[in-house]
Amino acid sequence: MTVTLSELPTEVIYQILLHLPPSSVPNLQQVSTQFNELSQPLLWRHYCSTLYHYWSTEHDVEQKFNEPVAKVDWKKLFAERHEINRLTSREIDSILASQVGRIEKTEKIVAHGYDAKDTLLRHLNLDGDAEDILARRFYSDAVLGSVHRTMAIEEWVKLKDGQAVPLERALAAFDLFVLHGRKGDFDEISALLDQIAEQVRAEDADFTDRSPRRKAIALAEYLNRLNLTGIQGDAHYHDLQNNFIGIALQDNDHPSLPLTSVAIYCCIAKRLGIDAHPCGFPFHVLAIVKPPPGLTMDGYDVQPGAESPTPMYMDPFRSSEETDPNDLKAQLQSLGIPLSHHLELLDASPTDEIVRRSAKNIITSVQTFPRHNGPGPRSATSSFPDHEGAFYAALWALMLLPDGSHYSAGMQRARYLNFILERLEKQTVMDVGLIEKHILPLIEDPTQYGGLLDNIRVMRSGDRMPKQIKARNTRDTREKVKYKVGQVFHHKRYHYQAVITGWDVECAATSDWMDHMGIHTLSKGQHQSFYHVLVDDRSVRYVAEENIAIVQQEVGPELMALAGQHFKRFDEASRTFVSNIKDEYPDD
Amino acid sequence: MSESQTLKLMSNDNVEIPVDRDVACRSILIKNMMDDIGEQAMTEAIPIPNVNEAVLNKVIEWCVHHKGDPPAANDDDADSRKKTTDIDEWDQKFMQVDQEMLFEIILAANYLDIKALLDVGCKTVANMIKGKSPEEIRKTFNIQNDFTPEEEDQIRRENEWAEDR
Repeated sequence: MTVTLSELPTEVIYQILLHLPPSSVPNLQQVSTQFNELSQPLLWRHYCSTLYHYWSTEHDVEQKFNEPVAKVDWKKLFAERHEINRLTSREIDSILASQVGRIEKTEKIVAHGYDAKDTLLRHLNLDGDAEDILARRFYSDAVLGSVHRTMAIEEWVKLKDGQAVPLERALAAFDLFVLHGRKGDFDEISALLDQIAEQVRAEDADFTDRSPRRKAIALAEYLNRLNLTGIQGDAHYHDLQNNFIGIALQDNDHPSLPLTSVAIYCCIAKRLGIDAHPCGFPFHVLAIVKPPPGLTMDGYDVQPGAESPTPMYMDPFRSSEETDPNDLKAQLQSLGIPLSHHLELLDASPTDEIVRRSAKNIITSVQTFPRHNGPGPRSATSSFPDHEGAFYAALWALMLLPDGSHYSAGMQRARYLNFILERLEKQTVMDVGLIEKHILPLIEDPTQYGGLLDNIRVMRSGDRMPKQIKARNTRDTREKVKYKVGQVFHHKRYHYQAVITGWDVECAATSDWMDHMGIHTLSKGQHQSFYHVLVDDRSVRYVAEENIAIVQQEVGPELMALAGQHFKRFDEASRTFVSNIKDEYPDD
Repeated sequence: MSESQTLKLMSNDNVEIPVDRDVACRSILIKNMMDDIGEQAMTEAIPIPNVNEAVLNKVIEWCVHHKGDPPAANDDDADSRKKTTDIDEWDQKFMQVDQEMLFEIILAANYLDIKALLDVGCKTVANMIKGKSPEEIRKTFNIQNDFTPEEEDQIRRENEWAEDR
């Protein structure tokens, strides 16, 4: 008796299929009717669940996984994701292959939303020795950032338009700006909050029967005991990471500012049937817990004709004890705040107010610690959360949700817009579409509007235009330009490490710039080759040849990560970066 | 219980094969049987009605080599899929047998409930399928094409999404 593949029990053949890449299944299906019948929804569901983790919300995939397997066309869904995966990889390859059209290529990927994330993560986490590893990581990270920012900004736009946005999403939007390939997106943050709520409930079998006051205190006690709120240890109050709800939930020490602590408290409270909201008390956000309709905080019925029951205040950042409202009133008085404002300051704050406050906290943190402490310049890409991303998030939040009157909102927006544009030109040029869509319509001043429109057009057309070729085809370019694109150097005067990303035979800057920089004090003045360089603190500079010292030194991780913008990889043997901008500098 | 305890397995062609208790317990079927009937199992040969001597020896050889392996992780892990094609060198050599023996080993692993061996066997077959055209798969496994041309055409069209474009 001989056993053949066809004679294996179906469940064993199915096991074999589970080890096949899905793209091999169609060929197997075409072998015979027996194998064709193996292509069942269950198999495609398996592929959907194991190969793809992140799904765009429109698929409602969690719901689908809970439905009977035959109710969903899993094969079609898989085919759809497979196609997006293919297109995304193709666009990434195309972004790497040429400097032209990167904005539009990014936008094509971003249009797939979260369906593109798995593929981008695969490129981002590619390890080892791909020949374009640095560029691949850099651009897949950049595109993923764009996907994240698009989602984050949509939440704030909803808030701006007066739609209800859950507090956790409104604040998690900040996390998305600094997320990169890490965990901590909307769903992951919600799941962490769900988990904590479950644990609180599990601690006390009678939790649901407790009075609202008991519940509110039990939650604060739990969070306090597990160190999930407040700042312990040697973390500094203004450390940037204390601003982010997702980071606070995932960090081992869970440090968070009062606002973040209160947000964590309120989001979990909501899951436990406690009606808690952030209360924007001056200098220190608190939580206000309101009694359920018809009940007092102690769970008694409200008597007809009685005064409406009073809420309670919690300060989960500091303690698990209730805060006396009389203390709060006294504090307001001592701050000299007129009585007429007290009611408002002691009530729940609208979510946009909390977002705004968080944005301002972030700006304070960024300005308190412009860079990480410690020796030498640290890049924004390797520190976490990255300062650039955090600051950019705060700008967007304030841009979309400015406070104050209509008139002052316009003034504020003009100011934030300048900062946003500055960042855009330097790093996040692919966000130009977000500006077009969300900021442009907000600008009321016709001159400003026109200026922004021009700006957008210039960025877009600049991206579409092939780079001007700078070949080494003249005597000057061959003899006067001593260094090459990709060489790593040490600045003789300012002592930073940088990589050359371009050159000019002579200083091509304006005479104003030359005066300002004191170019005439250089021994060779402006008549020497000048180099565009990328510094490991993320800045871009223009350096005279005489200030460049090529030295054999270790290339720091910051420069390594940033270099992906222009380079494929680092070549250990020559200790230079391998150019990915041959379309501009063909001979370097 | 000392480690050196041995028990006997009886193949379906009536050959008694002595084997270390630890080794035999890689098979969940045997392990459960021992848990159920206890020490009695040590005296009488355990019949393995679905497996012949040659195959049983092969399976035992595999179990001996993998005696010290840590217990398998949850197979629904997304990570386990990544390692699909990774078969360690020893296992690759071990699986260099004719197709009949390969399928017999898979069947035995399935019957005896030795998950890791079943996986190695299935991966080996999956690797034989991967990258082949339908016709090549038919040839490799000696399968008859029983489609009408219309059916064949329809299935091809349904699966166009998977083609490299």
